[in-house]
Amino acid sequence: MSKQAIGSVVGLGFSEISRGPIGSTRDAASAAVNAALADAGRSLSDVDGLLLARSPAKPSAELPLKLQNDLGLHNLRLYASVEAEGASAIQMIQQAAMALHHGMAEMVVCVFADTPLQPATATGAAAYNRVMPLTGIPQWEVQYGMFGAAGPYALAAQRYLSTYNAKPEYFGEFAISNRTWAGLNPDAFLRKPLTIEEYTASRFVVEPFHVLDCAYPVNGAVAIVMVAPDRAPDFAQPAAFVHGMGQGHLGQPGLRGADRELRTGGQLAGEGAYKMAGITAQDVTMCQFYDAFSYLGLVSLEDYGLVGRGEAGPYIADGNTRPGGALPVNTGGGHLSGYYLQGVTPIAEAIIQLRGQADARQVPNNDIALVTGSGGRLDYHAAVILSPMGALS
Amino acid sequence: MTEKSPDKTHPVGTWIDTDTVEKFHYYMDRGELRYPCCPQTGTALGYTARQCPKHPGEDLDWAPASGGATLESFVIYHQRYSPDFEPPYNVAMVALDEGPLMVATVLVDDLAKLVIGMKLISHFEPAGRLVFVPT
Repeated sequence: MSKQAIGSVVGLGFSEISRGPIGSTRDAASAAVNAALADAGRSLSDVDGLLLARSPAKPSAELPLKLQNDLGLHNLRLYASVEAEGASAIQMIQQAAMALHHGMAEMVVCVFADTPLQPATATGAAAYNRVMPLTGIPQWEVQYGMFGAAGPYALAAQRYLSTYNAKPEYFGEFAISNRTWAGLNPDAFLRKPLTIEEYTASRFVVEPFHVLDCAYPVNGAVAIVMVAPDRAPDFAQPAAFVHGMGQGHLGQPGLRGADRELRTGGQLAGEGAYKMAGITAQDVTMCQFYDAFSYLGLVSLEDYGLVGRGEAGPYIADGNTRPGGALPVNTGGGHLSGYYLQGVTPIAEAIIQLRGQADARQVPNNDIALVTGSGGRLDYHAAVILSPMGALS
Repeated sequence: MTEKSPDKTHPVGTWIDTDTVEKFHYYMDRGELRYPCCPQTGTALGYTARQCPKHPGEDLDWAPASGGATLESFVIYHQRYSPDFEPPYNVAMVALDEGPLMVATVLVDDLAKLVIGMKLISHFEPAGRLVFVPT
């Protein structure tokens, strides 16, 4: 018996995406919604569901529920702001799919918007200069200067290097893999070819992370339009069908041996998504990972069962994730070399690949895409299995 | 150990949390490092805990820590995020001998001496900040 899809993505839209000013986050969100509806060939009057997500570094007023009024949507049957940090974008798809599957709404638009780069916060370090709590005592980390996101993630990465006796160059290999894909993507922001020597020579932000291990922030918004799978043939664009959905949130016990740095909730999210789709990790033909830092590329390959524990570095260094490799990963350049819009970057790239519209970077086999989200410091995980096929045999 | 000045009740700033955390600061203000544990069994819990999951609804106890710890991980900040911290400096994740994990820093004259797994002992600086030193 074949497995039918749960939901489908039939529209994809972008606001202006730039390192410079693009106006407010709220206006960017509206622009992306309008663009996604135009891509789907529908209008605002067709929309009866709206889901929002924003950066956890921003207050709720940045992208308020009042967006409904900005857009002029007055008959919504589903509306919420999804709050799961970097896992929010995937969770929007999950919530929309469930609502569509049960007939709670007929057309749901999901939008993420962020404008981290402002005159006073023109760099990633300045834009994300906040304390990520790891200990559990509020503001504890301030007294040690643990600012920004790079430090907390670097703590995890360092432990990975030590546990598996892995080379720090493996992080660079992931950055190079992303950059190689970005070179084939005219919409990627960092496209110049990157060598391991250039990576190693680049400045440290928080050792072991170089600046090239960190996501490349931009201002922008991305929206998608979702409908029930049986309606997908009515749309002009090829659909991306949702077959599997999973989440994994292991919490932080705060005790030695929990090893949350090395085994994240991604494993649980993957198991759930694979099971729902009726597939295994071996069936995945491409991955679009949430890579806020290079280390997430490695740990995601392991958590989602695509390689064994400690094996991600050599796997990447051997070229498996690059163009022409056995398992294409982050084929638009990811957050590192493409653009960092917190989880919608991998979603947008997956949709483009599933439509067969990725031109020079089109993967040879787009049958099964694993798309992930990760929030907090490796805390909150969500994944979907997408396919151009409405039914998986 | 050095007593903190009486008026310095929290490491920094203002924050919102449960009453559980107030007890941690009460002891820290007296130069005592304590860790949360189950009021029924004394089992160590992490600083992230606000109740024992096996005995929910009861206030946690706070047991004195020996001060012994192990370096779980460390990073070197090269990026300057604050005028109060001059790079390069280290930020560490340490595991107290009793099990709880905490972010701190290790006092070393050479950052190259930091090795995951090295043994540490806690120390209160004159201003009251908790740090760790190699044993």
